[in-house]
Amino acid sequence: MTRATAEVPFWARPGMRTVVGDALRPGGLDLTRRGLALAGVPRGSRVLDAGCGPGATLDFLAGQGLRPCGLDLNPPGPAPSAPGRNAHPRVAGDVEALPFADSVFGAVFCECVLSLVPDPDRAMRELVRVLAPGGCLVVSDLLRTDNAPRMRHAGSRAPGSCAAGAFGFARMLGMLQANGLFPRAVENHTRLLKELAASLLFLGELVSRPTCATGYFLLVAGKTGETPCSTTPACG
Amino acid sequence: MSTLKVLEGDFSAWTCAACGQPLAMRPVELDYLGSRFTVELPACPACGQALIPEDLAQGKMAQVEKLLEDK
Repeated sequence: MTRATAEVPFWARPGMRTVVGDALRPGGLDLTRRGLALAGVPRGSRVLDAGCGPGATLDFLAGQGLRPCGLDLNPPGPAPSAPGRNAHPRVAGDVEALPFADSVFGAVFCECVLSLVPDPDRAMRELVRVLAPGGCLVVSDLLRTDNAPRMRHAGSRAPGSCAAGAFGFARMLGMLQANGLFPRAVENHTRLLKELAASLLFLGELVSRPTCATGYFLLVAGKTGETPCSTTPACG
Repeated sequence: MSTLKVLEGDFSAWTCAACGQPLAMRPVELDYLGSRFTVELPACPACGQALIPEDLAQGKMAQVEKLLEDK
């Protein structure tokens, strides 16, 4: 890998937008659509996109009849060239310290973000805190498929790559359990990660194959003992 | 997914051996093990046959195949 490509995280490379548009992650909005279908979030629900980036998921969720709110460390301003876009509430903030009251969102989306945060356990506690009774957490992210530890140093605030911050699925399940959540659906979408890497190889933005063992998953979780979101009016 | 530009260079001097038509850059779909990629390649406007330069075949395309095959 050249020095230039090693310093730029995947999500920040120009080729990402060529491949997946403004949804800067494997699978793009197709995987968001899949997560929403699995979660069964009722129309009109208030939904948080934690780590919203340019806001592609916000537009998609609004188009599905939901009331999205975005949070990002540096949310972009409105884009006048795109009418109707970016009209959703956006908040500048940290996923490890969400600036929202408890239990206010019918669903929380966190797509390809936990692998980037310094303290995923703290972020998970926050995501669950703002989830309303009966609500759903939709997570997609990289995962380590070997038993190697997370490469990113705990507590580091420096922007890094998702691959360096990926952790094993056992840890993910442990974080859910520790916060009273259970997985309602888990899907392996490693094929989408490979296709994204292949596209970046074609574009010359990935000079060599990724060296660490990583996969990609989609997970929908709810609080233990609760009725799924789709049958609970409190989600609205 | 947008069409991926995978080649640099001028291929306008190439002609199709079967049709005699000069090749033009156009989107071509590549299928590998159930995954599809649309890339821009020089191709014959008449018969659609595409030219895959050797360095592309042995470079990026070989890397993509290995990645998808987990080799």
